Amino acid sequence: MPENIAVQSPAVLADMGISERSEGIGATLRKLGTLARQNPLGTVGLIIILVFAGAALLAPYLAPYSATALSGTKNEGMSSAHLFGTEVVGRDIFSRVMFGGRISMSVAFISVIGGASAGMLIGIISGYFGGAIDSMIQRTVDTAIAFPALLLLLIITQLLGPSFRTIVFALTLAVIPGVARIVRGAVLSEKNNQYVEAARATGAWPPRILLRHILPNVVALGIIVMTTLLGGIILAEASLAFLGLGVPNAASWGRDVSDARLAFPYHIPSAIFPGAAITLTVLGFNILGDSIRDIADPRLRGSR
Amino acid sequence: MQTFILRRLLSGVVILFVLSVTVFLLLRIVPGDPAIRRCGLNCTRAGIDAIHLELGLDKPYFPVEVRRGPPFLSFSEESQYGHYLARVLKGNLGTSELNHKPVGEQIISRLPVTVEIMVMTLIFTIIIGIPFGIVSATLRNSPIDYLVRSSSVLGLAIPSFWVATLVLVLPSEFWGYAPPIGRKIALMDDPIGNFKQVAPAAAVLALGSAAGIMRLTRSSLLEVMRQDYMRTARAKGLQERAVILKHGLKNSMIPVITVLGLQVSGLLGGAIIVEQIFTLPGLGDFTLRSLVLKDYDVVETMTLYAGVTVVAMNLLVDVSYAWLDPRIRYS
Repeated sequence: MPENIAVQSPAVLADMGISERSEGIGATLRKLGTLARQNPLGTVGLIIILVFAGAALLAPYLAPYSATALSGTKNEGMSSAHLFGTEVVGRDIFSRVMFGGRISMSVAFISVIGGASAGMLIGIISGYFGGAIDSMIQRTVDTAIAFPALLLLLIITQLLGPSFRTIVFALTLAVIPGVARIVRGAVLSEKNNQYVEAARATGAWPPRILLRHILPNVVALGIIVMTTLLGGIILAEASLAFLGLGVPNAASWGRDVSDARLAFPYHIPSAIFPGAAITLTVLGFNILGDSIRDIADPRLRGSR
Repeated sequence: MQTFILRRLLSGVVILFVLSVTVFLLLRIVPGDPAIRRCGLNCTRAGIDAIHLELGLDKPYFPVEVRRGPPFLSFSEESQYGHYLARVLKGNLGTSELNHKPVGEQIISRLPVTVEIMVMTLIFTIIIGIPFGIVSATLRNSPIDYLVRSSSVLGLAIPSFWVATLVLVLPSEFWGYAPPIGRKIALMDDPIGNFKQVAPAAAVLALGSAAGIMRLTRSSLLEVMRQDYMRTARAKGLQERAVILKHGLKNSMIPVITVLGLQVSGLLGGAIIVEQIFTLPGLGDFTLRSLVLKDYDVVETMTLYAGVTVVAMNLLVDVSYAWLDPRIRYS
């Protein structure tokens, strides 16, 4: 047995009373620095996200004007007083872009974390137990993945009435099937590994095997999927807002693009800046997700 | 193959049944009584009851219902869902509450617009996505490859409604041009006018889907190029062009076809957005309008329509696997 210790998962090692040695903070920082240098794209993505998240978080302190109160005449051009100009009723576009990130990001983070956790649980159950449970879950997932997501989101938010809570709920539901599918695949290949067999041989009951042995090994995958999903969820939230089913009475990028489309005469800055904010944020999440996936699975590097 | 198709069709019917039950229930558990809206002002309890009786709303939802007390299950011959199902199976999709026209008739009159958008989007997606994906994979790490990769990353991040808005706003601001908006020009009456109306919408939708297809074609082809049979093809003296197009491409198309199928199923969602922006009177516009105005007969039907598309596309995709890779046999 001792010569096999190296191939055991940390959980099995912990079961056997062996713990891994932790490293100092300095070494971790140095590792992060190397990681950043080796993945310039991912670093750029992270910086974009940090800028937008920081702007959203600190908007009440940093924004030059209120997002909802009038601060100038309507449709002003770009000036030092109004960096991005003012929109159709005279609110400052720069401030609205800062505040708009609050809803987008909080909705995206909450629903992706919630949906990915639920999806991982469902995927683990489906993959580990197999049989009738598995095929039932998989057929449901098939349909849910293929069904037009936007239609589903629209129906749920409209029926429950658009609010922060219902939009988070709808987006959470939208996240679940994709995660469940991917995690199930990982569990299928994971459950035949020796350490699972070892755990079973020691008499561990299924919930313990699932939570202590299989879950830690698919969590990394789950986190990767989560990062790649964040961009898509921000897009979905913006689309809902664009179609008029966003969080009511909150500054929102999607709704601002819609307002710009309906304004007459057209005002270029109000059409450009909110949409550019969505694009940059989604871009940031997507390239960060790609590069996290590359780090986690070097075989895929450059192939996508 | 035939048994496979038959089995898939059967499972498709099951999926549609489950979908219809879900949507039926969803639309009925939300608060709000349709009878009260129909009754209007000066409504009395008796008036509401009369409408309930007329619409069959006094009946239970399903033929089999679970009860709290014994005998726990109750069966009834007449139920709302039973009526609904019988009606739909007879081809009666209900009446729109807004203009009192049959839903089926309205779908048929609006279908051409959406089908046109979908077909054109699919064409744009394929002619942009696949060739660029191939070039990018064969000239790996060349400037073209970097260009293709970065534009696909960008294409996946740009919201289609923003591009569509810019397509509307920028030309009108700088060149005073606007695509013909409002009344739909029929394809047969004025092909060019029709193209001017539909092409911008399709191009906007194709931007995102072509980006995805480009990326997928590239990665899938790169994967295939590592296979032994590609080396064999080169070793027997085939030209690189033939190696890629004859041996590589067909084998790399399975994931691409899968995603194309998913994209077509999802296009109703895209149609909702672009039909709003370019004011095209198609099914997407119909769906959003009836959803916002709570015209639930229409919503129910459109959900089923989306479900039918999904089932049909999944079947088509599965059948195409067998054609692309003869090793895949369905028995």
